[in-house]
Amino acid sequence: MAIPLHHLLILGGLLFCIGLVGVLLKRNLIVMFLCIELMLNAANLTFIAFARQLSQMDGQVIVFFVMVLAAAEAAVGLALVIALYRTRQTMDADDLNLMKL
Amino acid sequence: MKELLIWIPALPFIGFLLNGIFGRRIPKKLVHWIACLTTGVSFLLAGIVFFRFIGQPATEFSFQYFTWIQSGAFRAEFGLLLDPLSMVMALVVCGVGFLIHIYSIGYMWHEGGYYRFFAYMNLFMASMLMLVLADNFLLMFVGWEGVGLCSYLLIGFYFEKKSASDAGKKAFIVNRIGDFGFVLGILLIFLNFNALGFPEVFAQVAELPVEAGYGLLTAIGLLLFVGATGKSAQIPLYVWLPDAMEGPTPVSALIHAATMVTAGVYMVTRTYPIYTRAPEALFWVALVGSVTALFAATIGIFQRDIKRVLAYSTVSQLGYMFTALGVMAFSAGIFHLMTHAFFKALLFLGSGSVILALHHEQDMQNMGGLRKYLPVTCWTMWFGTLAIAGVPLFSGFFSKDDILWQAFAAPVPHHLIFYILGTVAALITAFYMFRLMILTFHGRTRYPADKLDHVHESPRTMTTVLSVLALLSLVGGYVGLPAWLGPNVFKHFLDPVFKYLPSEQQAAAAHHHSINQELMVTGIAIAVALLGIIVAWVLYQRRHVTPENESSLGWLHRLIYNKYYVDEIYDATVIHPIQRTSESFLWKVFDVGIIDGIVNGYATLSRALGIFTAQLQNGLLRSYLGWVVVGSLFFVIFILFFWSA
Amino acid sequence: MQEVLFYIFALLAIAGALSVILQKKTMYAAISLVITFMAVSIIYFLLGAQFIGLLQLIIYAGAIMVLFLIVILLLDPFSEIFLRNQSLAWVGLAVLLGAGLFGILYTAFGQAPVEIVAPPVPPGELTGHTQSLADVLFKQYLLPFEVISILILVAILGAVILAKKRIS
Repeated sequence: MAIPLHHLLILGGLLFCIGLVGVLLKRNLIVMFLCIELMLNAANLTFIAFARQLSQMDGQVIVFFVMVLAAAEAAVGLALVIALYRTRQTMDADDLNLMKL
Repeated sequence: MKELLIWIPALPFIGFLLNGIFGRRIPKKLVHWIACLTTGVSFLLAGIVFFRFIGQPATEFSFQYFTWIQSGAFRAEFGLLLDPLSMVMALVVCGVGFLIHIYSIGYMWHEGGYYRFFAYMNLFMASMLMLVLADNFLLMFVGWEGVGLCSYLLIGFYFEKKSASDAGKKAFIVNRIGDFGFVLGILLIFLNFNALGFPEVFAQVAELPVEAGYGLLTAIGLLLFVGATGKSAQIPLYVWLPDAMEGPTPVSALIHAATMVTAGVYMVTRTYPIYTRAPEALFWVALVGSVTALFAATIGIFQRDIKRVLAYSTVSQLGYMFTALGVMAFSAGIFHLMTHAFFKALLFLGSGSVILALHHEQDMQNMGGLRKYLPVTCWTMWFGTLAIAGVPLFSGFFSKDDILWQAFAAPVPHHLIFYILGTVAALITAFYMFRLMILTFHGRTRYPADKLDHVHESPRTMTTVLSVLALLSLVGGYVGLPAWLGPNVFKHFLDPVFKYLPSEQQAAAAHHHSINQELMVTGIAIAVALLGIIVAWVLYQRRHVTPENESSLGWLHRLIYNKYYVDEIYDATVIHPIQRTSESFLWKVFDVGIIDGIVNGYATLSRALGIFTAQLQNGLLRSYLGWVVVGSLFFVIFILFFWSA
Repeated sequence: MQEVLFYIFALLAIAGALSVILQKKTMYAAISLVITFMAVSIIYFLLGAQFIGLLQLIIYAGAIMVLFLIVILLLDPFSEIFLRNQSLAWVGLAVLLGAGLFGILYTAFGQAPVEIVAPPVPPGELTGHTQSLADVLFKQYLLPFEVISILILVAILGAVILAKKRIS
C-alpha cells in the first residue's frame, strides 16, 4: 500500500499555509521564527515526497541542505532577537518600525 | 502693372511697421512724413496703374503672387484683381485716405500717441486696399477683418476714456456678429463651388439659372449681406457707428464715412453674379437699405452732437447705396459711394475743424454764428452740404438722382416702395443738413463770449484738404451724367465688370424708358430737397430755434433723440440674457464646477493615490510580509494559469 | 498499514502546527512545534527516507528547537502573545491569504503530471540508506556540500558576534 502523492502534497501545502498565517498574525518575533521553521519543514516534506515518487536521491540531498540552512538561519536569527531584546526590551514585531518613511 | 499693383497695399503696411516699431523714438515730423509718404506714393501708383489700365484693351487681370496656403487639396493664393471696379475703389481709398492723412497732421499734432495714430491709420489703409484688390474671398476676408481691427484700435484711441474703449468694443463685437454670417457665406461658396477665387467662382455661378424663391444662391447672398450690415452699418447692426464717433475726427472721416463702411457695398457689388441670380436676396438688400436710409435720417433730425448727425447721415447714405444695389443699379451704387466719400469726408473733416477751434466742443447748442471766425471751414462745408442735399450741379445730386431714378424704373418687384422711402429720406436729409449748418455757422452765437477770442481758423494743412474735397464735391459728379444730359462715363467704365449679368436682366437693362419719366423723377427729387431746405431755413434761421427748444416737442423728441431706444432694446433682449447666462451658468457651473473640478480632481486623485501608496512603507514588518505573500500569490497564479510554456 | 500510520501522523502534524499558532504562551508554542517535527520525522521514515528522518530528529527537533527553547527561557518564557490586539481586518486578510494560497496549491497539485501512486519499493533495494545518500552527496553535490560547511561557519561567527554583550 503506497501513500498517494496527492495526499502528501496536500499535507505539505497545509502545513505551509498554516505556517504562513502564523507568520502574518503573530507579533512575537520568536513565534514568527517558529512558524518560518514550520514552512521550511513543509517544503522539505514535499521534496521527500517527490524524491520517492521519481525514485531519485536528489530530493533527499536537497532536504539535507535545507536542514543545514535552517539551522544556520535559526542561529543567526535568534542572535538578532537577543541583540534586539537587549537594546529595546521588546519582542513585538510592531515596535520595529524605524524604517518607515 | 503686376509689379506696381502689389506695392499699393504693401507701402502703407511698411509705413505701419516703421511707425509702429520705431515711432516712439523718432521725431513727430518723421512719423507723419512716413505715414503720408507711403499713402501718397500708393495713390500715385494707383494713378499710374489706372492710366496704364485704360490704355489697353483687356478689362480684367488676376495676378497671382504666391501660394499662401497649401494644405492637402486646398490651395489659397495671394492674388490681386485688377478690373474697373477694383480700380475705382483703390483710387477712392488712396486719394481720400491720403488727403485725410495730411489733415491729421494738423488735427492730431497736440494729441498724445501721435505715432500710434499714424501707425494704425497706415495699417487701415493697407487692410482696406487688400480688401478691395483681393482676387479671392479668403484674402478679402483678411482685409475685412483687418479694417475691423483698425476700426477698434482707432475708435478706442483715447483708451483711457471709458466711453471710448466701450465704443471700440461695441464696434468690434457687432462687427463680429456680421462677420459670422459672412464666414458662413464663404463656407457655403467653398462647399458648393470648390474654389474661393473670384474668377473661378463667378464663372461657375454664371452657369446657374436665376433662382425662383429661396435657394442656395439666396442663402449665400443673405449670409454675405449679414456681414455687410455689420460692416456697413445697416439695420440691425448699425448701432456701433454713432458710438464710433468717440474716435478722433479724422478716423470718423476716413473709416466711418469714406472707406471702411463702404466695404459692404463693394463686397455686394463684387459678388453681383450671385445676387443677380437670387432675386429674394436682392429684395432684402434693397428693403434693408431703403428702410435704413429713412430710419437713420429721422434720427439725425434731433441730434445735438455735430458728429452724431453726420454719423446717422452716413448710415442713411449707405442705405441709399444698398438700395441701388438691390435694384441692380450697381454702377449707381458705386458712383454714390465715390461722391459720398468726397462730401462725407469733407463734412467730417470740417466738423473736426470746428471742434478743434472750439476746443473740443461738440454740442451744437453751444455753437452758432461761427461763419465770421471760421470762414474757410464754413464755405467748404457748404459745398459738402449742398452735395449731400442733392442740390443740382453738385456731385451728390447726380449720384442720388441716379439711384432714385433707377429705383423708380427698375424691373424688380416692389421697386416703388424703395423709391418712395428714398425720396422721403432725401427730404429729411436736406432738412437735417441745413439744420446742422445753420445751427453751427449762422444765426446768433451761443458760444460763451469770453472764449470767442481763442476761436480761429485751422492750420493750412487742414484747410487745404477741405478745399480739395470741396472741389471734388462739386465736380466729382460730372463723370456720371444722367442720360438726358450727357454721357455717363462712370457707368461705361464699370460696364465690363458686369459681364455675368443673367440674360433676363441684361434685356431689361436695355429697355429704354422715356426721358419724360426721368425728368419727372429728377424734378421730384429737386422739389423735396428744396422743401427740406426751406423748412430748415424757416425754423432755424428765421425763428431761431435751438436744440434746447426742440425738446418742447415732448414724447416725439424724446423718442427720436434717444434713437428709438434701439440700444436699450438690444441691451434687454440680447446682452443681458447672454451676460446672465454667462455668469450664472457658464462661469459658475461649467468653468468653476466642471473644468476646475476636473483639474482639481486630478490633483486630489494624485494626492489620494500618493497617500494610499505611502502606506506601503509604514515600517511594519508584518505588513511587508503580507505584501510579499500577495506578490508571490500573484506570481503563482500567473505561472499556473496564464503561462503557456 | 503504511497508509494508516501516515494518516495518523499527518493529523498529528497538522494538530501541532495549528497549536503553534493558536497557543498563547511562547513556550507551549515551541513545544507544539517539536511535536510537529517528530510527526514529520515519522512520515519521512514511512516514505523510505530513513537517513533524513533521523536527521530531522537530530537537527530539527534536537538542535534547532533546543536553541529556540534556550532563547525563550533566556528572554521571556511565559509572556503573553498578543493575539487579541489585532484588528479584525488584518486577521481576516491573513487568513484569506493563507486560504487563497492553499486553494491555489490544491489546484496546482491536481495538475501534477505524475502518477498518483508510486511503485512500491522492491524489497532488496537500499533506498534512503546512508550509503545511497552519501553516494549522491559526495559525488554529485560535493561543491555545495563544501560551500554549506563554510556557510555554517559564517553563521556561527555571526551569531556569536551579534549576541555578544557590548563592553562599554
